This record gives sequence, structure tokens and C-alpha cells, in this order.
Amino acid sequence: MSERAGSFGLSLLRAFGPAVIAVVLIIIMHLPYGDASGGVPLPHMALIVVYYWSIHRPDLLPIGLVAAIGFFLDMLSGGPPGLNMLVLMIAQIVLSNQQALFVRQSFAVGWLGFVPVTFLAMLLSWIIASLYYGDNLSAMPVIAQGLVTLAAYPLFGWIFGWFDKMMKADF
Amino acid sequence: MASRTGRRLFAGLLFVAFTLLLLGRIDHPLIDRMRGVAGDFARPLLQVLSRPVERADAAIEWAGSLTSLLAENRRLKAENERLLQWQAAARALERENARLRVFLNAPQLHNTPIATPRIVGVAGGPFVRSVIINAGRADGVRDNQPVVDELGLVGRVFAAGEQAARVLLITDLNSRVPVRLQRTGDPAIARGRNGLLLELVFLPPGVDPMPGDAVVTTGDGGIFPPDILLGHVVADASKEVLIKPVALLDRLEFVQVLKPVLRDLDMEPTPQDTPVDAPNHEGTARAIEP
Repeated sequence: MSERAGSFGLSLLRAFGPAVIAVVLIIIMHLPYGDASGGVPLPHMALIVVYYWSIHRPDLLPIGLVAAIGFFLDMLSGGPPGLNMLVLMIAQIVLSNQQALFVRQSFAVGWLGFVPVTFLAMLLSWIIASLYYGDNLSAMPVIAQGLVTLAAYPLFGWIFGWFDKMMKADF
Repeated sequence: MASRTGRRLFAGLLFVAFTLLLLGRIDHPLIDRMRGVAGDFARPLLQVLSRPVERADAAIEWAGSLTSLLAENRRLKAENERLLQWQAAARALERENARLRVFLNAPQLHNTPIATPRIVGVAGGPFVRSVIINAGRADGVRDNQPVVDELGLVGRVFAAGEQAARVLLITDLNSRVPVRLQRTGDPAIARGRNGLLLELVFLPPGVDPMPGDAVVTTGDGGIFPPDILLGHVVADASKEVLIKPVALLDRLEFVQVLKPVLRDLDMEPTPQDTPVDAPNHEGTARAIEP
């Protein structure tokens, strides 16, 4: 009985683990870190989650879950609805076609691959937001968020790697 | 994703994303309702985790202030003396103002507080300036209610959920507040720029705001009550007139949600309203006979 329960728990973890991690990290990134005026750029956690799982375990993060993560981020952030949903889905589609490049590569290569993905995601976000608001928005906050996201990747990549190993070890 | 089903799913989800963008652009109420639900969903975790974050912030601020304790003490003593003089002058003016209002039969507007919630989250990102408060519809908080802190105007409520709501800060790109320069009385609009300062637009021609001029709300538009301090004009080399907000937007902890001014005046039109011989009831604005 307990074996069946454990197996069910593991199946749930496999099915929703990355999505749950993304939702929790998105909520944590919305905590009032000393500055409610938006002066402190915070990493785009959803992009890190989508990038990591798309290149290491794409089976655990299908496109439907990616869309759901983006939708939740859009609704919680109060920004243009659908923006992150669109950006994350496009990132995942691009990565699913390039996954072979990253398999069995070192962590540094993975980090390097994250640079163009972040750049494209931030550029796309900026273009969509500028069109949405009908204004030429300042690119500085997007550049700052992109740089912080790149800097945060090693830490979160390591944590996700540990989580992935834990799931494999239980098998 | 190569399969036909995968491609169809992707196309369908893209369509959903574009539809959401379109609905957001036309300010469809469904978007605000969904935002409210997302805020309610995140509130328990935000509420629990915001406490240690606030304590850590306070500890860092306290440690930083230790180094300048003596200088800060001297400055506060001098400021206290100056403020006591201002307090005496303000009380005298307040008494005089109240007497004149009685003479002129001019009704007083009171700011009616609805709730005093805590900031539990910053719904930010590069394109938005808003915060999440731990009060929602269950506490009487509704969309378009003005929000202040102990110093001045903070913003207005949007996307109110059951237990949490979002406050659009005055610095957000979408924020427009009808204001006037306190020194000259000239009206204008304070527009957010997603930065630390606001921009004063639609000033009448010939008006020359000076650095340090106070900018207060006019009460126009029916949301913000009149005479709430928004900020002060700051010196700027460009042609733009910029305002530095007085509210502590960079370290908000508690805020107060007020009744919008039109609701406070009970000015919702009713079928019984007639232009003549309509009885005045308590709390409504009265037309003053010339």
C-alpha cells in the first residue's frame, strides 16, 4: 500500500514538480524586498525554470504547463496579460528544437546557452509591452532584469539539478 | 512538438495568449477578476513569507542607521523644533478655516478610511509598479479606491480579490492623477513613468513651477479626495516638470484605503433625482446660492 502511495507521489512530483517549483518561485519573487517602487531588479524565475527543464528534462515540462506558468506570472505581476505566456512558450519551442546541442554538455555551456535565450526573451517582452502600452518604454529595467536573471542561473540551475537527481534516485 | 496534435495545441495556446493581450488592452473586467483570483491564491504564502523579509529589511536599516545615530539625533531635534512652530500655525489656520466654513456654509470633505492593510507583495517586473495588500472585497476594498500612506498619496486599488487586492502605484505608467500646484492653484495631471519620479503634464501655458512646489490632488475625476499631498516639484534640466512623491513607495509597510470621493459624496444618480426642489440629505454636496 505504502509502495503504491510512494509511487503515486513520485508520479505527481514528476508530472507537476517543475510547475510547482515555478509557481512557488514566482510567488517568492513577488515578496516586498525592501523596495516597492520597482527599483530592485529581480530574476525572471519562470524563464530559468523553463530553460532548465526544457534542455534537461523536456518530458517534465510540456507546453501546456509552460503556458500555465506564464499565465500565472502574468496574472500575479499585473503586467500585460498573456505577455509571459507568449514569451515562455516561444522560448520552449525554440529550445525543444535545439535540445540536442545541450545534452551531456557542461554546466558552463548550459549557462552560456542561456545568454541568447534571455536576450531574446527580454527583447520580445520589451517589444510586446511597448506595443501593448503604445509607448516607447525604457529598455533599462528589462536589461537590468536580464542581467540579474543570467547571474541567478548558476544557483537555481544547481538547485534544479539536485531536485532532478533526487527524482531519478527514487526510481 | 513535431506531431500534429502538438502543433495544434501550440497554436491554440498562442491564440489564448493573444486574446488575453487583447482583453487586457480593452480593460476587460475578466482580466481584473483573474488577477484578483491569482492574488488570493498567492496571498497565504506571501503573508507568511513577507514577515521575515520585513524583519530582515528592518534589521539592515537599523544596522545602517547605527553609524549615523548622533548626526541623525541632532537633525531630528532641529526638525522637531521647526515642526512644533508649524504645528501651532497649522492649528490656528485650522480653527480659522473651520469658522469660515461655518460662515460660508461650505461643507467639509472627510477622508473615510475603509481598511489599513499590510503590503504583502510587490507585483512588479520591468513594466508595472504595483503592490499587493492583504485586504480584499471581504474587507470592503473595491476597485478604484484611493490609497495613502502616512505622508501622502500611494495609488489606487485595481483587481481586488476576495482576500487580497492590488494597488497601482502613482509611479506606474498607467497612473494619471488630477493635481494642482498648491502655490498657484494651477491644475495639471501627474503621470507615472515607471520610474522614481512622476511627470506633470497638461499645465496651463505660462505657468512656471518652482523646485519645491507642493503638488496636491484636486478631487477631479471622482477617485482621489482633494488636497492629498502627492509630492514636490524637483529641479530638472530638461523641459519636463518632474515630481518626487512624498509617499514612502520604496519601503511601504502599511497603507490606508479610502473611500473614493464621489462615493463619499453619495453622488450616484438615482431615478428620484430631480434638478429642482431635491431635498439635500446629510453628507451630500450642496449647491451654494450665488
